[in-house]
Amino acid sequence: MATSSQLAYLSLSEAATFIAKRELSPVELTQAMLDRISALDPKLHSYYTVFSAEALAAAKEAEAQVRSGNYRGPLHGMPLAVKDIYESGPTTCGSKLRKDYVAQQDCTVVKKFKQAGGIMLGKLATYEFAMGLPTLASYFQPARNPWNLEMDPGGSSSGSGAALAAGLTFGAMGSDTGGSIRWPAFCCGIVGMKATYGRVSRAGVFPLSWNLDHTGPMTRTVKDCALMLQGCAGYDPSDPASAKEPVPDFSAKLRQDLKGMRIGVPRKLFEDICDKEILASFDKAVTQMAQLGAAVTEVDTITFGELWAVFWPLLFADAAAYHLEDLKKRPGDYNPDLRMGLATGVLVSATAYLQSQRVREQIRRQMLKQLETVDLFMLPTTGIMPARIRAQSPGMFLMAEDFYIYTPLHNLTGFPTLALPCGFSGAGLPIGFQLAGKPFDEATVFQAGYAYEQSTPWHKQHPAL
Amino acid sequence: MDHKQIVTARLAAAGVSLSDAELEQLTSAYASLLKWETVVQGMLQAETEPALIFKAQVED
Repeated sequence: MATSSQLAYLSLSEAATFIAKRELSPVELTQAMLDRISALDPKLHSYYTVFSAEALAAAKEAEAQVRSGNYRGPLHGMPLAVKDIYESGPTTCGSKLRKDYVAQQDCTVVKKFKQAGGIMLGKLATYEFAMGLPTLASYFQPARNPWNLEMDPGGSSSGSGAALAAGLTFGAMGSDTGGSIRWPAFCCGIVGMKATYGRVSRAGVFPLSWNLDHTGPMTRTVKDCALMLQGCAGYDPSDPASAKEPVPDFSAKLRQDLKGMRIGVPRKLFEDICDKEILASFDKAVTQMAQLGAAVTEVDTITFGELWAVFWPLLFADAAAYHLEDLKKRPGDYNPDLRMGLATGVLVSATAYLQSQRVREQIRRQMLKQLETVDLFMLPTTGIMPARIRAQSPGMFLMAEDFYIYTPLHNLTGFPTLALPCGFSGAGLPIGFQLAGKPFDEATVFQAGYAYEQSTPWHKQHPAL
Repeated sequence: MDHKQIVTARLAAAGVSLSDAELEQLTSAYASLLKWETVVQGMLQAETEPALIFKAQVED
């Protein structure tokens, strides 16, 4: 029998192949994950809740089904986990305000995973309500970066990134309002897909911004990400923003080469404000894409200052609208920086909010026009390396003008955007980039990401724990 | 009214209470909001309509 650490870094697709051939038992795999979580998570804090008994019971059921010839597909018998803003059992949102909340039913995504035979391992750490930076002074301890336990794993899907990098799940769900899938993917050296706005149901997922919230999978490989998206995508009448779009085979183009693919790089957004190591790794990734056959050109874009000006008023105002009653009645139960962010939202005027929405739509239309001449956009995920975990709240760090993160652009557009690793810093921390494509064309985004990934070694490297 | 007075008045109107230290930070945030309003105004093209945003995102 393989050891838990040997099993831990199988890709989801490899483990699924073994399960389908009955060479690997879902019970063995689930037990290996639970053992590894017990051994490693006390220092990582990536899980808030572990469903040990329920997971083993579900694994036994899956094993019996597979043995009897009722194999359902790649998620059958697969240990998975979700960010703790997805309703399923205890759902704290990483906040003292909801420390005792237990969901009465599973959210749509968890229901879909269970229907596909997935094994729910537990609930993963999150920045408070998917926004508020946790510190050592917070009610819930912050998740740690497996590549350096002193560092933040990025957020807000912090536990999802940390658990995947540490081999504590084979797939996870995150949410992304301004980069909360893609930033932890960058910091933890994993893969994350912010699917097209409306592609994956948000029903039962705690909102931060109705206009900007996206959901999507996080995994260790691009192929795994496509398989996870296959398991959760699709129209859901319970989510008013859900799209009535057909769900294609997201893995269909993985084996296609990049000859003739056109990639646009919006350099104006990041080139002058990007960490040198990140920019160097990104430029090598661009060269690699060209060597794989893509035609890479520069495309016009907005500046970073313009991105900030449009994005933050929308996010803060939406979040404040949702949280206003608790902000009035229980302000002391929020982490300080989230309390400040929500209060900032109260200050956004109605006219400023609407002007930002108008410009947001303008940006989206301009970029849709650009997608007539390029197939994908390629840009670094962020221009800064992760920070050390803080003892106390630094105040409003998210809107600091030197917080160079380029992810919100595609929360404004709603385009599908994949984050994947492209190197390491001199200090041994992962570096990554983003690929964004046409609405509902995740398959082409995965195609390019997979071609890059398979030609580079980054996805095969794991932290020493 | 200076910015701190405006911030204090708006929060009070919404029923939100913060400490003096937090009000100082928010005054700085309010200055950023005003700066961003100017930036956004400069980006705006007159023909852009906001009302179809949600529908367009769902149906595109």
